[in-house]
Amino acid sequence: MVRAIAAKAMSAWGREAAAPMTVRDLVEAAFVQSREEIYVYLITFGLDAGAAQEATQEAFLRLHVELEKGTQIRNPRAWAFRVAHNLALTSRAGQRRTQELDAEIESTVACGGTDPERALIDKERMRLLAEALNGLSSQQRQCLHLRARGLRYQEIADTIGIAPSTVGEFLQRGIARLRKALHE
Amino acid sequence: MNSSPWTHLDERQLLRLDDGELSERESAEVRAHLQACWQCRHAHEQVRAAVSDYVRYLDAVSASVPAPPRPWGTIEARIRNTRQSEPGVSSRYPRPAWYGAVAATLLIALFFFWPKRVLTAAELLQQAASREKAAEAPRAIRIRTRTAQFTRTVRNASENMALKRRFDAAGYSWQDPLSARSFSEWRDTLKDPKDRVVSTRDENGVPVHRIATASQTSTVKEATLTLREGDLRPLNTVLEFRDNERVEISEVDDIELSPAVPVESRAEEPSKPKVPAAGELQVWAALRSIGADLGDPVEVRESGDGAVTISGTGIELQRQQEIRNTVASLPGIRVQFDTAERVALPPRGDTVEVPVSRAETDKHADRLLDLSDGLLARAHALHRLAERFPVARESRLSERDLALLRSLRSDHLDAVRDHVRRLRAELRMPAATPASQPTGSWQQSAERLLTAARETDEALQQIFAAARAEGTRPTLEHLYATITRLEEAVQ
Repeated sequence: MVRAIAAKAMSAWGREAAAPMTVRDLVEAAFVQSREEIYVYLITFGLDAGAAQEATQEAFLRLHVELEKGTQIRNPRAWAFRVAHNLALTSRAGQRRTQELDAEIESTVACGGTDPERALIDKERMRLLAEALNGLSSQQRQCLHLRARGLRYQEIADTIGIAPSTVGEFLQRGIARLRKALHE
Repeated sequence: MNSSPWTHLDERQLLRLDDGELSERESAEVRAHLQACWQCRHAHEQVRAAVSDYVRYLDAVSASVPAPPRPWGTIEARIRNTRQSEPGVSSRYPRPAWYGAVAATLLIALFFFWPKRVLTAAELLQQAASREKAAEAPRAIRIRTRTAQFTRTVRNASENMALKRRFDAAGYSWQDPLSARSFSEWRDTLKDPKDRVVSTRDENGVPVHRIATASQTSTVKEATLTLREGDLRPLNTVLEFRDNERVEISEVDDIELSPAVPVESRAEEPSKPKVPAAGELQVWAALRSIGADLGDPVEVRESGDGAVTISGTGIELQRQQEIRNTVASLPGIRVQFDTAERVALPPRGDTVEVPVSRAETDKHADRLLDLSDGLLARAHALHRLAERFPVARESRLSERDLALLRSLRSDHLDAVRDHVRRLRAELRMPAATPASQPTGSWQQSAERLLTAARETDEALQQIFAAARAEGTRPTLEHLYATITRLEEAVQ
């Protein structure tokens, strides 16, 4: 039973299980595959690096416990995001980290490419984007982040606890804000 | 789905198309429109460009994220540790004296943070409904649709008949729309309810259960009820209708507005005058002093216990603070701004949006439109006073409050007259013909004034701002007629 759940869950993660897997194999593989994206999500959420790493591991640990208990988890990736999101809510230090990242990003982007003019334009676009994103609510930013990482509207809704139609609205508002920042 | 060749697609449709969130039929319609319409194709490309830029931005952010402080290692070790700590697993290490305290702390932490069994929607609703029976209490609720927002008390369902009809058609209680029992009764009528239950935190960090029930057959395609985890009190209900109308009902605050009264005895209770309106009037006067009654989406409502609540959505933080400071000296005032989301204001109705480019193109038109903007704001503020203080309520005011109300009214009327005079001058309108004397109360005049101000604004927009490139523009005579009606209303 647990093996069947593991195989089904692995398939939902985007990988077909070549051989029968234990729950532990599944969680380990999922952990390797998705820990970085969940970690980055938590950092942008406002956690410091240590707390983000801890919460990421905790989310996968809980996934293991649930699957071992025989809980049916249709989409373990979205489930792990949701648990990590909830853990972050309990220990979030604030939004300062996002601001710091916006500053850090400028130097990161400016380093790309050999054409200085192109690099300058890129830098300016990224600055405008960062400004526009700062004008969005945290939930709107979370929707954009999770969508960019491949979660569907329903999965995003489950992760942050809002209606799927609200996800659509938040995404539209977010994109409209970015579009306006870049084209006006 | 609005995708005929004659109406352009909106951004949400374009985004949902790319995200695979449209039905096959909708996708086909949107694609067909895109093939035919260059303008929408251009908008589509811009949406895609914004998405692409955002992904690049996110990648750059990810690259700048600090590395985890420790190597990742494997999850294996933590799973093993978890198993060792399970009951029945003997420890290889002696237990120090503080072991008990640490274990107790861990147990408390586990109690709070370990995933709990999520109850089913039916179980949660049953529990929540039974608690409602035990603590019936009328409370203030805010009802927000895509275009409007108002506050009323539960069971006082006299406002907004269109919404009432909508709720009746869906089989959802309009009288008490923020209730587990109402949600449950609606859910019981569904042939195909599909439930989801999420335990999360709301925007204020309060632990909540969210029950979302979807149906393919009801006129409500999905309803979501948010219950506070601690006492299962309904905090919020959202109904998504098939025609894309969205109605959100929220509790105005956590404080009960009047003592619990059973439904039956409440219905038989003789109607008695509400608490004197002085508190609310003073709040309006305070808001007037900083111009917050002109265009800011501020609501002022008196509750059953005599307290006055100022609420609003989408108000900038700085403005919120100004309002708080202004009313700080007034006793018994509750200020409650919704800061969770900056919502878009409803489509133009009582405010004027002047495109930036217009300022560069035609100063004359700008002046006219600015005047119209100010005039509309005043007409709207006066109309709101008329709504809040109808004749019957006005008759119960004290002399002092009547004087305050008159002074607020005069202030708005003087401003309207001044705006009309300047409009006339700017338009070089022919000399005014003697206006007929209006009949009825000042409240009725306020209604006529708002109508005339809207007509004037509409005519100005169409003539001077070319807001609608297609269609017949009104004549100057039509504009003059609307301004004359304005003058009649402010007699």
